[in-house]
Amino acid sequence: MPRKTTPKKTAPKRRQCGTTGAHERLLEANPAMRARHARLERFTDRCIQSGHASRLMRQEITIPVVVHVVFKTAEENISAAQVRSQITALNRDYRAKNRDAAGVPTVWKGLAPSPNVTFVLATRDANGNPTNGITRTKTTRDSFGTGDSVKASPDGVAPWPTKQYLNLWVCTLAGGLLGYAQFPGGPAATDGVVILNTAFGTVGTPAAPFDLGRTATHEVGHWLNLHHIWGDRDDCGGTDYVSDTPNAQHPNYGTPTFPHPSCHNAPDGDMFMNYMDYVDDRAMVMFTTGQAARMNATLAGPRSSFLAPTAERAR
Amino acid sequence: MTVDGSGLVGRWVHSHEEDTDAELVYRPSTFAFPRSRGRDALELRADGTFSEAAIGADDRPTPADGTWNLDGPAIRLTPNAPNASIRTLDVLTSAADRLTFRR
Repeated sequence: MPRKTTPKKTAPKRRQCGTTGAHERLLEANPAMRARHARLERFTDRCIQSGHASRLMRQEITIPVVVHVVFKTAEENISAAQVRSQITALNRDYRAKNRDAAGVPTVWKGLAPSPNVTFVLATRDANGNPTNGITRTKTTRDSFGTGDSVKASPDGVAPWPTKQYLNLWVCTLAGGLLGYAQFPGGPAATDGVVILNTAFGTVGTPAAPFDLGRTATHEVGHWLNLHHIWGDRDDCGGTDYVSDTPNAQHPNYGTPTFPHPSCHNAPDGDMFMNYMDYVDDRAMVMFTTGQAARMNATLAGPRSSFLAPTAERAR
Repeated sequence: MTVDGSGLVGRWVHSHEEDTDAELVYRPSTFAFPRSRGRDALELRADGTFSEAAIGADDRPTPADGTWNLDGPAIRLTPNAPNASIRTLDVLTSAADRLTFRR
């Protein structure tokens, strides 16, 4: 929405200012969630300041993934090759092996480390039985909204134990939405990310400009507690809790031209080539050092089960 | 410009692909939008209430409600949430299939 606000009970002033962030409104309305969020932010700060997150980043962390394909039509029942291409894309980006990182502007080149996280399709289910890490569920629904019905029967399928597996649902989402995520600390019954089948992977049904697997890169970033680089406010007053991503006012879309300034961040402008902006797949190419540390702090804290032997058994 | 309030009633979805440096473009929800990582939307009702869906931190639309009225060529939104700010949206053009606001 456009951006002029004024406090209630005073005459409206015509000034450039923003709406309260959606995330802040949620926290405001839910004291328990607000308290959890505050605790997690304190932990994350301590983990980064103490150097623990950096130490963890030097050690390779492997996350077992289960992909739940929920389909009505044959085309929506995507191939195993398409699923595997998405895992390859995640590893390309989360290990900073993407060749298009050459497009990172010089000013930020030193800021694009490898988060050093590896994703593998699960080879054992929760009962220890062999699996290819893919489940297939037939649904009667033409599409799913964002109310998580894809994550439970009768329309969808429940997650595998979320402390052992990253659960990734692939389906047709209504309204052309590419995907959505759940931050750490939410309900286990819905923990994971949901991705539109035509924006999933790099072979099969994905279509340009969302055909490089970056929707999953973005959503898994949320799952590891990364926020949008514009801080989910449009008045330059938001934060993504990371110090090395410049403040930005709005999401960027498409394939912007560098530099694109906002929020007094000239001359370099918005870091729109960051995975946590809203640009096309080919325009997003990097995480920053601060984001990598934050993700590793998440793996030391609310997602520490992935460092434990229970996760080991799923690989 | 003079704005006809009844012509604004409906659900308007951000067609950000059409934005320019000067204006933000909204289309009726029946418009054939391409896929997107997220879109905000605003529904203006004839009874003076509105609901909106902001882009959420987890990419899901996050709803909010309130009341609206016309203030000259601008829409004035008063959210129901006690601490939320009143906002004004300057209408640049208004047609059945396209509504634009000053950026």
